[in-house]
Amino acid sequence: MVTFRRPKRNEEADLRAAFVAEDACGELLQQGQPSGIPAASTARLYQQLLSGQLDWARLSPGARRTATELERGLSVVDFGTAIAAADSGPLSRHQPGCSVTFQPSQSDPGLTYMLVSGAALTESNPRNLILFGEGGQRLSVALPPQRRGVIQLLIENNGELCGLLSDPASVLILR
Amino acid sequence: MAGDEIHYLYRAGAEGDPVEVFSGIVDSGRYPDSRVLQKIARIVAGAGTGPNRDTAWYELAHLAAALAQGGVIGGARFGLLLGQETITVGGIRQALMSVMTPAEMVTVDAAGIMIDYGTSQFVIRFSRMPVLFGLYEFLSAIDDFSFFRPLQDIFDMLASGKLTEAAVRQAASQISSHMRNYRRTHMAYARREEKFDRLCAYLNARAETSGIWQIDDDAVFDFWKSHASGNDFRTFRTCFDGFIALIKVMESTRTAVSMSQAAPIGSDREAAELDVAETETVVIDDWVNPFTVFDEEAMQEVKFFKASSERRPLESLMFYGPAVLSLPQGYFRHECLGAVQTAITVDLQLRRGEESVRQRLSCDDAEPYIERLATLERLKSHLHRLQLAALHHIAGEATNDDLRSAARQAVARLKRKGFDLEDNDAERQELFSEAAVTLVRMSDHLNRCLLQFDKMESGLPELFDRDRREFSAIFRQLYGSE
Repeated sequence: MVTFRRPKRNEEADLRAAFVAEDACGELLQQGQPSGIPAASTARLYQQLLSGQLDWARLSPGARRTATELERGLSVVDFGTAIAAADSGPLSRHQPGCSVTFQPSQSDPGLTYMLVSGAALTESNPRNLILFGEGGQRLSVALPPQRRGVIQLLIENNGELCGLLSDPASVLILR
Repeated sequence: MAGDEIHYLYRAGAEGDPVEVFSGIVDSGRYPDSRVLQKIARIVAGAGTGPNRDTAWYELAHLAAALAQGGVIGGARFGLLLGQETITVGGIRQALMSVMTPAEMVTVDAAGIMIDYGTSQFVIRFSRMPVLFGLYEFLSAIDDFSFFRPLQDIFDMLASGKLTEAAVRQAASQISSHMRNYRRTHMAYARREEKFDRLCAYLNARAETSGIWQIDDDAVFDFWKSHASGNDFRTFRTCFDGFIALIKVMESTRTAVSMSQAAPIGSDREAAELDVAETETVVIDDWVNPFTVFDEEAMQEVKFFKASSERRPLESLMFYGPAVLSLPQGYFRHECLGAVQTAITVDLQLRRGEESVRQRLSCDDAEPYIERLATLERLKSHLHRLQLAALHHIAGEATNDDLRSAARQAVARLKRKGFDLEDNDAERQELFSEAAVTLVRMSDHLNRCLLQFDKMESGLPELFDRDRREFSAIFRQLYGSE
């Protein structure tokens, strides 16, 4: 048996809140199994990103958004979104120390040269160009080695990569 | 407690998010020390210890501020807080020392981080950081990660301009505010508040003019009998849990009286400030289930307890801790007849058929109280043997010959995984050293309980018979026509 002085009216609100917390905590700690699929741990998301083992297709919308933010945090250069242009076609993007520009191929009208250049390339060595679309898409392209401070890539004008590069709302990073 | 896992699975119901996020963190295996997880759970539920329930968010904001001052922002912050495979105090210390750049306001030493705001200082010890890392991870993932971006924005604000304590307080307040709403949405506040109100109303009516709340076994049993037909207190175990939660809250309020006269938060002892990093050590009766220590990964090397015959009978006693001493009959009802009701509930949820339920209604298969007492006595001996076995690994030359010999015998007789007379390397000694401390706590608690239970021994058979008839009658009312 245990006895307590009956709480006064002005003490009841604090007691009620403490009781609710204690009751909820007991339930959390006694929970043998989750009620559904355990939510992805943020740390595991991050670590799977680091090791290249993240299965983007299986992520919830929120986890995908977060993984995007985390991957931007791992980037060498984060160009963010682009400034909308009147002309169609891939949009150049600039950050201090690094630029992505485009030139039409002279030999094939269906192709465009993407040129990545700037001091950032000599300081670090990005291996991938990654694009995040507004609709949750993620496209990663392996970058070839740089030559004289420029990375050059030939892209198809009607491909998915060119489509995302043409969308000012897409986010571009080098990692 | 057969079927309890399923029972809780159903109980989670609509309150999935905190459980799922917490389970995600547990399942990640990133926090090998389960005491850290316990603390995270308590803080998340708003039952955290310390001067007030928002202290942890205040500490987290200070940590983010210190990191920002030390140049750990953006991706570097992700790397530090999320990049470590397992979270240990040593790992954090090493990682933090390698990423922090010297900053005017922040000092990092072997014990932790100190931020000097000019007029005040704040210290966060490394030993506290695993909990803060876990809270960051929890906050990041709640509501399908919807607070991830706002949390980064709150922390980024601490990196811009001159850092002030007011800015840190504001950041902490934004986090607390979000968590208050989160708890309100996901932790069934209304239902739990109603539970509290019903318990209060009952105890007030019982107190009549005395002004004293008396919580005893009769109160719990009587309350259940009068509330079982409703939804909130249908099972005896729910009632028992409710009264135990109330006892804990009332006890901690008594404790809080002395704490409320203390100290602003800070680490200036001369100014009588309270260092939040140390507050957990001064809270009385902050019982932590000792079995969580044996759930740690390293402890799986040794089979201290067999699941069904040694752990399960002790599980509730260790979960509820000293609060159970106030309700000794309730404990036996919870364990023996409450188990029957859990089994009926599971039968119904899994649609096992009328016959299965009907057979349980009589409570003929319930474990008699006297048998449970005998089991606890047997487990007292088992705990003693385990302590002796631990002594073999940690005592060295410090113990007398008789005790050493008894310890060797105990190890030799425990013919199970991990008990090996010859295997006594440093790692094994450390493991048994940690186990020994916990085993002593368990033994102390069990002995206190048995002292009380033994006084009831002669009356237990009669109490069981009477209870069995009453429980059976209530079960027939509740489930007889299912």
